[in-house]
Amino acid sequence: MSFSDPWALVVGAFVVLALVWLYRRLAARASNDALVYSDVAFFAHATQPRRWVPRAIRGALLLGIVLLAASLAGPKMLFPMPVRDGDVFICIDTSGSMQSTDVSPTREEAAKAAARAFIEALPSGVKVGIITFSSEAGTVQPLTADHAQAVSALDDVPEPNGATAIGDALQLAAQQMPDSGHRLVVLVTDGVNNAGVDPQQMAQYLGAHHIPVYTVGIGTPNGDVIPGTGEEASIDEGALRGYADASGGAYSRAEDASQLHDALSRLGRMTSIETKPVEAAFGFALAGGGILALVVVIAMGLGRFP
Amino acid sequence: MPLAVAFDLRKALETARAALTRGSALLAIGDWFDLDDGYDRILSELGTRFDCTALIARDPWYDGLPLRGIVRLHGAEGGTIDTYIGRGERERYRAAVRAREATLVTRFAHAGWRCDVLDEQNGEASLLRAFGIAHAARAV
Repeated sequence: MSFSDPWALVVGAFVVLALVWLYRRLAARASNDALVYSDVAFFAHATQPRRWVPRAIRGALLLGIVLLAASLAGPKMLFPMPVRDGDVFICIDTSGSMQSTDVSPTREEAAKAAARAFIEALPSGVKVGIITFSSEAGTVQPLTADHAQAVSALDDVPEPNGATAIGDALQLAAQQMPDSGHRLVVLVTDGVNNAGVDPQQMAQYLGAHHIPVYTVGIGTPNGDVIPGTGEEASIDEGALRGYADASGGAYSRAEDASQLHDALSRLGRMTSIETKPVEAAFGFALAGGGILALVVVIAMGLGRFP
Repeated sequence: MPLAVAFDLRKALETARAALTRGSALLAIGDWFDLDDGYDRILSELGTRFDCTALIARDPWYDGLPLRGIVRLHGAEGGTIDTYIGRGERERYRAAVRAREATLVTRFAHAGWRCDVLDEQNGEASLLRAFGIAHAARAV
């Protein structure tokens, strides 16, 4: 929680303290008119009274005043809000290793299917773009709010071939991102960066600009041989986790098509919510005033203020 | 701050025991709030040596607690209580006051005292009732 006018809090605290002092003075004066009883210990024993009632009323009275005083300071509270707009780039690895069939039917086809689920899970106002990368990165779909068009663009993802230039893909995403707003990058890859700019530096750059990178590692633990090459397709989980950590995102691992689908669907839903500071002054004032009104009504019903 | 100096019942009874001669008559009137098991011995001693009569000042709220809602009570000998009084509290109070009075009567009887409740409008009749002269008390 934050306050737009923190100094008003100090003034409010003084007001509350002054009211508490005034209350105690008045209560002390009123106590002179209190009834006198022979033995209050016997009275307490005999009635087993509900002493919490006056205490609760006093507490509610104080809470109401504090809320009213705090409302003057312009309180803002962090609430998870549905994203109405934003920009998301999904970067899909199309290096040669994505031909591997350890993830059915191939890593690339599974990635495309999962990307489709991700796009479909995004709120309608969010723009989505698609970048593919192998030895170099390219834009398959610039940012668009037309999700159907983005899904169709997945058909244009090139066949797997070449090296893995993760840093280039992140750089391309950074170049095309707007300067502000809710922005993020989803990186789906099975490999180790072996071309282009340093992805760790790019991840740090994106993080510095409040653009988290969510990395999804695709492939089975034992990997697979890249068809036609004899090379083994491996995954550098440490690096992928590092890109996510450096940018404020998160890493997840998918060992089959279903896990990949779930991971990206979850990301789609997760990125549909953002935590925003919301003006709470009206709510504070309403709650404080409501509590005070309730206290007055209850106190009148009970005969007098505690 | 106490509204009155606390009354020391034990000291008062001990003073009576020391000052009175055997066979003297002792009339004690009070609300007896302090009287608990710890007084049984001295009551019995007094009951044996003297002709003791106790009148119990009845709780003015014996017939029912007239309080409701949030109330503040000061103890005559100190203490304050801020509390809420509802139907449950009133019922418990009524039962407790009656039980206390019955216990006092029993305690005095066991100690060899005669005892009754003080009628503040007619103290003489109260005394006669304590002596078991009910018909005389009615006449008074």
